[in-house]
Amino acid sequence: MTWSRRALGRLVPTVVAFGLLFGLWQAIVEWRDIKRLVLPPPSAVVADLWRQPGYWWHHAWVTGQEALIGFVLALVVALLLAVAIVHSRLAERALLPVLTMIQVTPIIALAVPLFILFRSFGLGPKIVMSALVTFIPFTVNAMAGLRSVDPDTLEVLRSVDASRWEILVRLRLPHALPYLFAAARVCVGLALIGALVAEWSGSSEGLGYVMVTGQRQFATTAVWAAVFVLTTMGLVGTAVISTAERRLMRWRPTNTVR
Amino acid sequence: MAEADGSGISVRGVSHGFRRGREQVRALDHIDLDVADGEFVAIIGPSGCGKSTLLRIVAGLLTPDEGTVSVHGLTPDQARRQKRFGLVPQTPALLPWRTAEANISLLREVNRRRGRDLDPPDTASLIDLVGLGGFEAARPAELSGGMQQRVALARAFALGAPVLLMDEPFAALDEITREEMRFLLARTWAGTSDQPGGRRTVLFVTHAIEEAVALADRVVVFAARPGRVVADETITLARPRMPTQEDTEPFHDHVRRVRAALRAAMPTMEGLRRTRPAGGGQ
Repeated sequence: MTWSRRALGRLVPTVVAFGLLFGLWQAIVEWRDIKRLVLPPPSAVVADLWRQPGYWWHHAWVTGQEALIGFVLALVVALLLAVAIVHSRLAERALLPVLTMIQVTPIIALAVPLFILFRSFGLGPKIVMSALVTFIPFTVNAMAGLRSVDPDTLEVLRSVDASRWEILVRLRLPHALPYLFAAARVCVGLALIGALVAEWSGSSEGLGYVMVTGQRQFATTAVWAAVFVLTTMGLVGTAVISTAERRLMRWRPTNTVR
Repeated sequence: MAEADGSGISVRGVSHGFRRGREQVRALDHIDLDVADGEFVAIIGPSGCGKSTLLRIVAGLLTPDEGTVSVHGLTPDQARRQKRFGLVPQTPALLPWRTAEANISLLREVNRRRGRDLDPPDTASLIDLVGLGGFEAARPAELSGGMQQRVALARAFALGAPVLLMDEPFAALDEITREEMRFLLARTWAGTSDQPGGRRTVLFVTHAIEEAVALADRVVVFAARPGRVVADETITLARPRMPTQEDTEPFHDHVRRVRAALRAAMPTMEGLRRTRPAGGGQ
C-alpha cells in the first residue's frame, strides 16, 4: 500500500491528537496513582477488550441491533409522516401538535415506563426507545427537505400536469436527501443512546447491561471498555453514512450549500 | 382572429386580484389578447403590471377572478393536462442531479400518459441549435448561468408542445449573455419550425424593450396598477432576425414607439417628460 503525501498529511495530525489525548490520560493515571477502581488507564481498557473479543462482540451486536432497527424504523415512519404533512393540511394540523409533544418530552424518561409496559428484558423496549429518540430529528429534517424544492422547478413540473407522486419522487425526495443525511449523522449517536438507556432500565445482555453489572461488581475497566466499544460503533455508523452520502450525491460539486 | 375557429390563444376580459395585507391589489384589469398560431408575442411592462400573472393564467397554473382564456379551444387547465405548454421560468429550474440531456428530456418523461400526440423535435439537432453540443453529460453545477438557461430553453422545446410560455427567461443573465441568448432563441424557434409540429406559438414576458422588439412579431405593452394593455405594436422586421438588424432605423423606430407607450403609461414619468415623445404611436 502506498500512501500519497496528501493522505499522510491528513492522517498525521489526527493520529498525533489522539495519541496526545490518550497519552495524557495514561500519564495522569500513572503519576497521580489513581486507583483502577476510580479510573483505569486506557491501556488497561484496551487490554480488557483484547482479552475477550467474543464477549464484547456479542454485547456490541445486541446493542447495535437494537439501535439499528430503531434507527431504520424511525426513518421509515418519519418519511411517511413528513410526506403526509407536506401534502395535507389536515395531516399537518393533526400531527404537528403530537410531534411537538414528543419533541418536548425528555424521551429518556420513557425508559422505565417502556420496560414496565413490555415486561421484557428483550429487544422490544430498546428498539422503541431508539426509534423514539431518533424519530424527531428525522421528521423535522424530512419535512424541511421535502419543502426545500425550488418554486420555479415545481411550476415547470406542474405546467405539464405532473402528479403529486411524480413531484414527490422526481423532485421532493431527491431534494430531501441532503437533509436526511444531516439528520442521520445526528441520529447515529442518538440511536445508541436510546438503546443504552433502555438497557440500563432492564436487560440481560448488551453493552448497557455490561455497564450496569460492571458498576455493581466494581469492574470499572469493563465499564470503560463498554464506552470504547460504543464510541467505535458510533464512528462506524457515521462512516457508513458518509460513504452513502458521497455515493448518492455525486452530482453535488461540494457538500456545502451553494 | 383567434377565438372563432378554436385556434391560437384568446384572452377575454381577464381580471385578477391579489390580497396584500388588508388591501386588494388589482393585478390585471379586463385584459383582451389574441395570439395566432405560430405567432411570437412579447408582453412588456413595468414590474408589477401583472404580465407574469397573465402568463400563469394562460398556463392554467392560476385561475383568474374574471374572464376566460382559451387555448386551441381548450381551457388553460385542459390544455395544461394535455401538455400543451412548454414553460420557461425566470430561473433555469433544472434538476441538479440530472445531466443537461436528462434535464432536456424531463418534461417528456413526466406525465407520460399524456402528450403522445405531440411532435417533439429531434433532440440531437435541438441540442445543436441551442449550442449545447458537447455538454450533454454536464450537470447544471458545471454549467454557467447562460448555459443553464439554454438547457431550460431546450427542455421547453423538447416537449414538442405547440405553445411556449416564457417568463423573463433572460432577466437574470448579464447583458452580453442576454444578447447572445435572444438570437439563440430566435434561431431555435426558427430552426424547430421546419420540424414536425411546425412553428411554435410563443408568449414571451420581458421588461427589456430591445429584447421584445428583436424577437417578436408583436409587442404588447402593459401598464401597471392595475395591469392593462396600453399598446400593441406590430414588428415589421424581416425574419430570420439577425443581430445586425438592431442597428437599423426600423428597429430603432419600433424601440422608440414601445418606449413611448411605456412612458405614457407610467404616471411617475409625467413630471420628467418635457415634450410628448415623437411617434407615441397608437
